[in-house]
Amino acid sequence: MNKNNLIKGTLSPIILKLLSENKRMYGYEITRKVKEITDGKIELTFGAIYPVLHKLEKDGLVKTESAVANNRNRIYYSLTEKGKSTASERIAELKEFLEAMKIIINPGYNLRYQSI
Amino acid sequence: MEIKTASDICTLNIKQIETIAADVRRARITLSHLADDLIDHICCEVESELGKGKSFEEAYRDIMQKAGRKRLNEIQEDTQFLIDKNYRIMKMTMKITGNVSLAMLGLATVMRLFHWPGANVVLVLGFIVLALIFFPAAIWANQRETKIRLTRSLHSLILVGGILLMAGVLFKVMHWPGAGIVMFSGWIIVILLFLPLLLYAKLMEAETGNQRLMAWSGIGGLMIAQMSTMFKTFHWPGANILMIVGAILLISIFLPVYTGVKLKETGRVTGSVIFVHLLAVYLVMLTFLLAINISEADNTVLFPERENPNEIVQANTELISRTHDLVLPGLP
Repeated sequence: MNKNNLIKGTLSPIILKLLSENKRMYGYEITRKVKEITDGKIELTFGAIYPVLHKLEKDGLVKTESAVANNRNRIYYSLTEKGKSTASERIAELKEFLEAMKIIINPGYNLRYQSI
Repeated sequence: MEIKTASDICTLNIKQIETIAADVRRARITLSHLADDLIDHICCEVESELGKGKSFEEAYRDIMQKAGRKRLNEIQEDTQFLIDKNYRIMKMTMKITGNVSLAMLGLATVMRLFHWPGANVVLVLGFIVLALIFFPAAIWANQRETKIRLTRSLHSLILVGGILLMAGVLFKVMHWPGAGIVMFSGWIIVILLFLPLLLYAKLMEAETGNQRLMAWSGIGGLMIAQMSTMFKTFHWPGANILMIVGAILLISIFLPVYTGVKLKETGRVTGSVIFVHLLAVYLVMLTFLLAINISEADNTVLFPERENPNEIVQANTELISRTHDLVLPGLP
């Protein structure tokens, strides 16, 4: 199964979740952190995250600030007020979706409940 | 959870950062802070690989290969696509009208060959979709991807010139009056305004001698080839000489230099190299087709409206002998 296709739709909730737990993060930091938390199971590429980050910025959910680090510009992303409330909504949505997925992929799980 | 990045241990020097930044700039990343994002991200990844004992060149190459399926400007396109609704609409319009107009033109050609009724209606509709919807949409989408003012004037010039040329061909095919003047003005815009400005823009951004040679031979060759087509259409003298000079410039100077430059830049044969080669093959074929004798039978099918199809055969025979004298004087 193509893992990238599975991740695609969950990318913006993942980013919002990480930003809600950290004051500000830069793109590379986000990919590193995701890799670390998931024990290397999910690796985001820069081709995937920047379009989403820019979309979130366009929608007013995140804001950026620039700072010089190691001789180059680094863009830090952080949640706006609007972003904070949207983040918790999206995370709740994702959670609900994952619960539903669990039921679908494991039919026995569902049946046992009904038979008891 | 504290993240310990390798960048704390190894940092790139300014020259190495500049190498990466130059590659990102070459990909024409102009969308807000995307270039800064990408430069910093690639630098961080390279630094992390350096921590594992790789050399800079090795680490950089590996990272670009890993992400390589998506080239840098594709990331910009993806971003543009996500954040800009009009851009999305234009890209869709381009896809649909591009296919529709090509299908219509192809169908019209077949219908015309077999003298089926309605061929002209399909032909005109196909041209209208191509010239007035697809072409402007394609240029508009390209416009969105760039912020350079010179490129913008280039876009408007090719828009006007291209539409005029397409309309001219349509007029000619339909035997409508005024084809000559429409085509002539299109050619004037393309040859005297668009191509010289394009040459200027390419020379400005060229960094090496080879890139300059590529610009001169490629665009110069195109200008001369266009002129030869124009001369040929209006039956002015000198078209053949122009065609030979243009073809030599394009095939034996531009093509090898272009392939070399692209190979050096990317280290592999890219899609655009294949595309340019195909285009060159097409051009050569077209030139050959113009020069070979078309049989009488074919002429009656292709040019049914001509009273004497043999005119073309005669003209072609004459053309070939004159070309022959020019290239190989004194030989039989």
